[in-house]
Amino acid sequence: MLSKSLVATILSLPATVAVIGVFLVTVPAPSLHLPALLMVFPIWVAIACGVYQIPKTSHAAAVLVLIAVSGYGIITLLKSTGVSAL
Amino acid sequence: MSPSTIKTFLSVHTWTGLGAGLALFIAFYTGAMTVFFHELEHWDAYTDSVPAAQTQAQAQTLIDQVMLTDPGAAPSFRLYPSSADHPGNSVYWFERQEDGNFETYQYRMDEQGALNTTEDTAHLASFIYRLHYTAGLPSSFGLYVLGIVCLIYGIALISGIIVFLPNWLKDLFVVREGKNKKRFWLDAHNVVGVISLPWHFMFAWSSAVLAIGVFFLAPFQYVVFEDDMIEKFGDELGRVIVNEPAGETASMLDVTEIIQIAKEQTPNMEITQLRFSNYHDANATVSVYGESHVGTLTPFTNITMNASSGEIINVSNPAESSAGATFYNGLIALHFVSFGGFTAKWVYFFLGLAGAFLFFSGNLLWIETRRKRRQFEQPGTAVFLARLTTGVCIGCMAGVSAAFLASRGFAELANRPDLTELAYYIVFFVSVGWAFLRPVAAGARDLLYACAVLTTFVPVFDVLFVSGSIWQHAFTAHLPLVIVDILAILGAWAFWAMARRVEARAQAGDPNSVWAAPAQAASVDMSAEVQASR
Repeated sequence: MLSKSLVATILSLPATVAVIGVFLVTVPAPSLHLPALLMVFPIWVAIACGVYQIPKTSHAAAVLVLIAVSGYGIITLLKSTGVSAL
Repeated sequence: MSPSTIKTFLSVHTWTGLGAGLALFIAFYTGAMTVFFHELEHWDAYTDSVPAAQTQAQAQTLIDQVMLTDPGAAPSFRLYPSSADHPGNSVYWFERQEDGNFETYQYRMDEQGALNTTEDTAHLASFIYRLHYTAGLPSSFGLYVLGIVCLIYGIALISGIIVFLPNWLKDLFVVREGKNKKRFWLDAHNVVGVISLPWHFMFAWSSAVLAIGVFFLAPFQYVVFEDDMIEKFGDELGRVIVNEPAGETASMLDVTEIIQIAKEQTPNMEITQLRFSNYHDANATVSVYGESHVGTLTPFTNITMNASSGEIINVSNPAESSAGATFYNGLIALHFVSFGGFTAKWVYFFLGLAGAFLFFSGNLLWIETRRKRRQFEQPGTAVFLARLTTGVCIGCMAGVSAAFLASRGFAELANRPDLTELAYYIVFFVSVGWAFLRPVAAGARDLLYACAVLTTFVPVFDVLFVSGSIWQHAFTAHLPLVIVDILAILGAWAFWAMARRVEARAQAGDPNSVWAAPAQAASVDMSAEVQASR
């Protein structure tokens, strides 16, 4: 339980940043930037709680890393190709 | 929902609740009082006389005197104009020290027009507020700890809902009081939790934003944004706009003119603060802060202008705010109950106390769940948590009452703020120590009686130390005095009643519990031995 809790609370932060980051670079609405940033807390908590639904801690960690890496990949790709909505 | 899911989330709810519960108890108990921050300040300021209201012209005279006496204030200072809540103008400025802390300088003007540089010693409200966001830990560290506690609190809320969902129709608003104490505490915990759930979620969210919001945003600076985020969102987050100094001396608008220009922008604004930057420079700015109650959730209004020419630089008011500013200020307004007047404040006050009960009852539930029903000796973890819960929770309440007494009793002393804090910490730590030295039930009973006695003395001290001239008009002009005393009497009665219940439970309740008196358990053991020998 302790290891899963650490995974849930710590690894969910980069995953949250990735999810919101993808939203920011894909949705062309600057007025929604700050509201999106303020959603960090509920999304972080939702992802952290969702992690407990994954039976194996290693699988949970893998899912969160996958979300984070995919998200950062999309953000970097969109920014480097100049099609980011920012 | 599968039983394994329920079991998992029950475990998550239990451990997150235990991990965050005690800090949250302190945050909610003191937070309930912080709802009435201004009224508490008012109560704390009653001594021999009430300060007289002052005019805007006197505010300008105060600024002029401060500039002559202390030119170090010119780069940045604040004027708090006289208001009904705070009669008398005051000027503050803060000097950053080498260790990162700030030295506060404050100036007022006495009735003879002389500059008064003595520190305002009415410190109780700000101390209770600090307890609210640090739980009594050192300031910055405590703030970050409470921020992390808010994250745990959020997870505890979600997991609690998941655990409660399968039986929510059956158990909603049901409290079964009977022999099964676990059932009773669970029902009470659920009812309070469900009634105040949206409010708790808002609090977890807004508190996390306030306490550790900068850590939420920092990763986006590196990953997403290329512009400086402070530049990008500063205005929406209410950053003070300061122009670079021109290096040329210029005459300044006086306070009356500044307020008049601000009122032209937002006529219904109640001005609370003026922040000056680079006073006497041609590029000096002044930001006029206030509240405009125009039917929006967030009332915060801010007009920034050149302090020499009066040229408007920025206007931020709730009716025309951006989505981001509305969202952010909305969260802040919900947290600090900046809407709804006194009705909303009283609702927050009672929900705050109910929130404190929620965390207390959660710990009691954990202790009851682990009770060994066939033996007096209870698990060490249950005894430890019972001692810690009673020591910290009741100690906090007793400490707050002691801080009230110290602030009133030492009102004439220059080190009143230190004594107020000292009174809290002494009572708090003695209470925790007492809870660990005494048997659990006896410790809880003693602390509740102590709490009742300390709280009873709040109105007694008011009668002894507050001038009779103030008491003569208490019901018409000084309601904070009356309301604090009435609440103190009700609180003292509640603490006394709880102490009696704890005593009765120890003597006549189930002997196989941490809440039983050892003597009662011994007599049960003896009668069992007698029966066995027959």
